[in-house]
Amino acid sequence: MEIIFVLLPLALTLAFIFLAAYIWAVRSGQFDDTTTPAYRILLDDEIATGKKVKKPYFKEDPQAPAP
Amino acid sequence: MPVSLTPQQDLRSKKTSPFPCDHCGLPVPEFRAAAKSSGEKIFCCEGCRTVYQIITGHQLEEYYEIKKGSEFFARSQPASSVLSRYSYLDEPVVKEKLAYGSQARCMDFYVEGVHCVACLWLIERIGKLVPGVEGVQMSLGSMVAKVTLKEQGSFSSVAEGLERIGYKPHPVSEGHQARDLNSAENRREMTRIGVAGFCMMNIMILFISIYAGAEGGMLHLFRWLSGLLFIPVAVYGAAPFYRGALSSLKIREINIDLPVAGALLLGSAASVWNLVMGSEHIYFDSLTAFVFLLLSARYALKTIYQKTASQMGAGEFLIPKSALRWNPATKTSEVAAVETLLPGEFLLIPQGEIIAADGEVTSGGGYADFHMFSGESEPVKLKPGSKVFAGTVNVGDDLIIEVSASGRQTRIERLLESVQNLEKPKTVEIADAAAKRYLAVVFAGAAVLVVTSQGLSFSEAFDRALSMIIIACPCALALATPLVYRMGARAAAQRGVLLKGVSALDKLSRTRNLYLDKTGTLTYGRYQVLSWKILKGMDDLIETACLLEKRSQHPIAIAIRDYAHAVYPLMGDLSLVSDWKEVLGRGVSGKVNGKHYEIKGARADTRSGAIEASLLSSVGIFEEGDLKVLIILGDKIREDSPATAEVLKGQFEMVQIVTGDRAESGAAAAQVLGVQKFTAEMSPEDKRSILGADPFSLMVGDGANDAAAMKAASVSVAVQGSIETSFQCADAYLTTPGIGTLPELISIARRTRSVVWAALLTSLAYNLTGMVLAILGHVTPLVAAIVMPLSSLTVLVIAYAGVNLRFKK
Repeated sequence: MEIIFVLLPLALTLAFIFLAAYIWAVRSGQFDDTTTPAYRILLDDEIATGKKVKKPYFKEDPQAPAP
Repeated sequence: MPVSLTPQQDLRSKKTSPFPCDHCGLPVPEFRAAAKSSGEKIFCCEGCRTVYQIITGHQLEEYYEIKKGSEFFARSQPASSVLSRYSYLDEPVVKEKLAYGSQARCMDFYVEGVHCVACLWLIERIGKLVPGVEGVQMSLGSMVAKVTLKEQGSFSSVAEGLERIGYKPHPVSEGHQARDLNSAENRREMTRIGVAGFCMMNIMILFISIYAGAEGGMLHLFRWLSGLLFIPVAVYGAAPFYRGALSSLKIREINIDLPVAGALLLGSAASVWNLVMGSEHIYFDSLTAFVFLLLSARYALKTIYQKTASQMGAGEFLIPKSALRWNPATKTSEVAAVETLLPGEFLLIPQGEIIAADGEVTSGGGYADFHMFSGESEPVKLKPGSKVFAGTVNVGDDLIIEVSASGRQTRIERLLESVQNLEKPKTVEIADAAAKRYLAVVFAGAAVLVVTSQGLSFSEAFDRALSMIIIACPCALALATPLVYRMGARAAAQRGVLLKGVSALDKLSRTRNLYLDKTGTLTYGRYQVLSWKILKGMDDLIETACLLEKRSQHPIAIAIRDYAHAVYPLMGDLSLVSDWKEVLGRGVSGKVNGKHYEIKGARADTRSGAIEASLLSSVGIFEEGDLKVLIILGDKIREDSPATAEVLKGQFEMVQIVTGDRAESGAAAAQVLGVQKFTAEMSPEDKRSILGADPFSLMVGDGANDAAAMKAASVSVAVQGSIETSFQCADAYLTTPGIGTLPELISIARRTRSVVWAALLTSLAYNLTGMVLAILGHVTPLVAAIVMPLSSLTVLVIAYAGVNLRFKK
């Protein structure tokens, strides 16, 4: 049972680390805009050469069998 | 969303082809669609073509690929080909006001016309078009783009760049400080919720061991540890409730923080006492859960509130941000920000521009469209000394005005401010009053329960009383109703309806009988060409007529011009006309291709039995004094009126047309609309007595001519007319012409009301059932602490889903 004196502080410390991480995230503004990032992730990063990127977005699969 | 005030709709794009525009996706007019067959790109207007060229010219055509797959907001607008000036953004005075950040290199723009993720992509790449941009961060939630410049960049070039690719940027004034404060507050609250959640979860774990039967030293350890973890919640987490309760005591009015704080303090005191005394009854678990869930529920509510409040004021769109300041000494003009205008200064208002400030004409003599103020759709002739108002359009020649009021002091701004009626809807008043009495009853009940408990130990009675106070908090009752009304009002605003406070929705939902005015409401309220009869010769002379009427602002001239443009969209070389003359009240004359033409009144052939001949006007085109073409003009019923009337008939028990017009025209209108009842030749007094006698009447008309009737009606909606006079008698104002938005407004009002009642009844049922169970001892404080905020959340979900799912546009 003595293990509980190790486990309790350990568990609390771990939880506290997560709390601290959360508070840091809030303070640094990561929760200020919750709409846009969900859409922004759909966009590819630009290619450094600045060349035209020909890549289909959201296109249906040409291999798909006809209904 | 802002009230949608469409940019200048291209009058010419009437005949459309089945092909969509390659830029904006709207149907392309027939005369532009010809290139489609040869594989070329086609566009609905020049604006869209230009934007397409700019985008492809900068290797940004990926925009169209992204756009194909995204349907975030399924709406689009053709690009405007008229560009605004933004050089005022670089003036030091303006920069000081609008720019912020280190070295004032940031500025926020509310961007109009953003509809999907492809727009986001394009806007954030504005740096490819415009040099000197460090970065752009766009938020789709608020439609605000934060622009950061490099050292050599300028805000005006960014704004111009945005406009060039088809988006209209509005610099956000004063807003960023409020927004910073707001986001700081949001962050504080999220931190609070996080801390409360952290403590709650750990206390829960400890309590599981206690409930599971920990004994001896272990039990003591767990109890004291949970007491320790409770301190941050009691002191820091629950602080907003204490503050609310204190202010409630100060103003001697019961609010919902009072029972919350009361339950918290009572529970904490009892817990600490029992902890020290070693008694079994400690409530750290229930109290932290209570605080955590309440904080979360309130945060959710606040987020929804902010969303509904983030729409920009209608005034922001009615008045331009910049104007041309005129220097009378040098006879030159420079671009100036509206904020910097002072009374006594002079402004140059070019033809077609919106006037940016109230003032007096000093020179020039154009026409101005005053319909927002006067209700007259016909432009008003201006002469030196005439008063003009911000928000109106100069449709005639260039004007010089002397500013008398600008910014917040203008007539339109003061007007919009005064319309913000703070009257509470009846239902909200009832709910508020009920909530206050109800709280008094709950506290009294709890006290009685503790004092008179028979056969119960004190601690058992205290348990029950605490559960009862917690579960009885009428959060939903007090919070849900205003929220639903605000969301209803927002849904209405999205459809271009201005409401005189949210109480207008409440009133609208109670109406049963609809009374419609005819002229200007069901009809266009202006002249339109109904027939174009060639009497002699082969030539229809449409082009000649258009050229001659081009410079006149008479309503008949406008009607003829519009008609001509619908037939031949691309014409009007004014150099073909010589000797042009306009005689007020008579008509116009001039030489075209060497022949003398005159357009003036001509008697219509009444033998043809033309419908309501005397209601129509007719003019003739005379070639060398010879009547060649007869044009008949009249006030047409709006194309969308019959369909709208059909829907309205389903919504109301009775629909009736009331008009001051002659019986024949009233009958004609009733027939076209399929409305059974009409009363014609009504004087304003007649209308008033009819409407005053009906307690469930809704009057729809224009705010000036029908003012008496609208005042007498239990509720009234103004169509077009002037905002100012309309709001003296009407409860709502439709900014879009015609009654097309009326059925939606009615259903919004009715659904708002039913959602309010659903929310109220649910929360009442929750609270009453919970209280009875608590008194009987079936609810422990922990269960109460979890159920209470959950009930608030349920009601919020009902409110939010009920309003939003139905009104989503």
